[in-house]
Amino acid sequence: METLPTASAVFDRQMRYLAFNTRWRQAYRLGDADLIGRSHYEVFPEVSQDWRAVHRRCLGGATERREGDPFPRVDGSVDYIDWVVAPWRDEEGAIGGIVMHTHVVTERHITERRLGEEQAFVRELFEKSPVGMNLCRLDGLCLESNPAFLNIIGYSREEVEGGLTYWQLTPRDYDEAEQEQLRSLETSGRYGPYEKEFIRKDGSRVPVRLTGFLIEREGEKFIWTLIEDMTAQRALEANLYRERLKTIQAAKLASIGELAAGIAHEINNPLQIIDGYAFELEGALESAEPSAREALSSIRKATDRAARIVRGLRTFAREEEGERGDHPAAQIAEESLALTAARMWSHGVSVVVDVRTERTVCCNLVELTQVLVNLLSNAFDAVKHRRGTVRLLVDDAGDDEVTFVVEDSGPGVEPALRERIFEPFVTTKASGEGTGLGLSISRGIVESTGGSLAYEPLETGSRFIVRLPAGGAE
Amino acid sequence: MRTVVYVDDDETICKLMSRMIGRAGAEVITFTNPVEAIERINKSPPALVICDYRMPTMNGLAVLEQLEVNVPFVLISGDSSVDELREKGVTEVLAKPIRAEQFVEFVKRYI
Repeated sequence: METLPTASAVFDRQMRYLAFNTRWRQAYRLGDADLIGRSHYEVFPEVSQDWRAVHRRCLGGATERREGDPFPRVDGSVDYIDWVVAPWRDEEGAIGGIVMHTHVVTERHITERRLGEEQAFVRELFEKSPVGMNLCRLDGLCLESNPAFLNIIGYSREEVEGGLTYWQLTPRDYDEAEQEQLRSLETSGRYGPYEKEFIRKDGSRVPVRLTGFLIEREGEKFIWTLIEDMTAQRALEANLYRERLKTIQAAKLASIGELAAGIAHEINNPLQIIDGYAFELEGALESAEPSAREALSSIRKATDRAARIVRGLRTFAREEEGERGDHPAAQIAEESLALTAARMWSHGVSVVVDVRTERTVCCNLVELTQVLVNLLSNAFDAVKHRRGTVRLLVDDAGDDEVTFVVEDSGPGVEPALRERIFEPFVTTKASGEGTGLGLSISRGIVESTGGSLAYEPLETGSRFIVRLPAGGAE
Repeated sequence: MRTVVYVDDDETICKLMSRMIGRAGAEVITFTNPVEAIERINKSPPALVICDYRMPTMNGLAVLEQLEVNVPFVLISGDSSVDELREKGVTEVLAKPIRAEQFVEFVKRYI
């Protein structure tokens, strides 16, 4: 019995000890008490009814075994026991009692339970991690994915475990970058941080940042990857970039404004001189050829026009913000045209102006001129390659409003963009031709003046309607 | 004959404007140097002073501030804040370029 690896004891039919080994004594902390001839139930009064039933069944001929069976001890502790109980027979084959082989596995049991708890804990970290996690084979087959990763790629766990590979998620344009990351994995065992996109189940792309390393398990190599969804980050960056562009654009506009003011001043002197001497010549040539006088008259008219344009430019470029006041709608239209009409004529674009109101508009003249110049310039850009028409209609609307309608016979705004043309940086112009800021700034100005700016598609072309409250001085 | 003082750093403009003022029937003295103009005006006040606003050494308002005599003072400026200039003692503000006929008529009102 001493050679047995188990703590064992032999009992007679009355459950009295016939024999036991040292392991038994040690396992059940029996000290050096003499057990032979004593009842098991006397030695262990804590033996449960359950156990007693096992003993009865085995005395009846059964063999029973159990693993990790809890055995609450009289001192309040619990032992965990693997055991086998079997009957023993005498020479005639009759059951003489039972043999119990037991193995106290309390320590193993505790270790296993702890391990299980730890596994569950790690699993929870994996499942609840806000960062996507994925384990895949070297060929890219996905084995383990956490919910965050599934969420990023838009597939269900079943779909991924059904044989999805990393390569199905990777757009072809990343082939070269992928090779580089694979080389890094081969040489250093890690890769990333690597920014790329995944193709989601719905076909859309999601920006991600990957960091990963090689991991070995049971002799096979796998790639363990952490996946961050960069969508929010990208949006933030795009926003910052737009803000920066806006600042640069504003600075550029400001410097152009300053330049324009200076240029205007420098041009005024020569204009004064041209007009003055033309006037002098007119006097001196009173008796000369009519054609000479006509020429002089043309010179003076042209000078006058140049002067008006320069004046408009000055108004437009003025640094200080003009104050709000009542300005005749006709004057606003005229000043805006002075700045834009020459360009249109020189491109063969015809300009039709129709002012049918005598009302004034309560506005900041500089700002509103800027709005109309912007709308007229857009109209011009839309028709400049097709010798089209730009119309400016100024009219009463209702009892107390004025509308400025700018129409062009250009290609119009494509339906998909119509909803968005007043958003900053949305432009229909070729890259480098428009900032995409004009309409958003214009709408801002018009709305701060208490009016509205709207777009209407025409059969051919576009129509922008500025509606403003009429001034009080009418 | 009444005298008009014309101050502008541009000599060609001075020459032209003095012809225009002559047409209005006034005698004209032009200055491209504002300091000399101030000296002349203070010593012998003219019927009218016409002065450019933007000059490299001194602007038109600074000229006005240094005058010790009360004379009609016309500023030539592209600036539209006329009210503010009036408060500072400017009689009228003219925008450059001004049509020759208009300028002649304008000068006539002061002489």
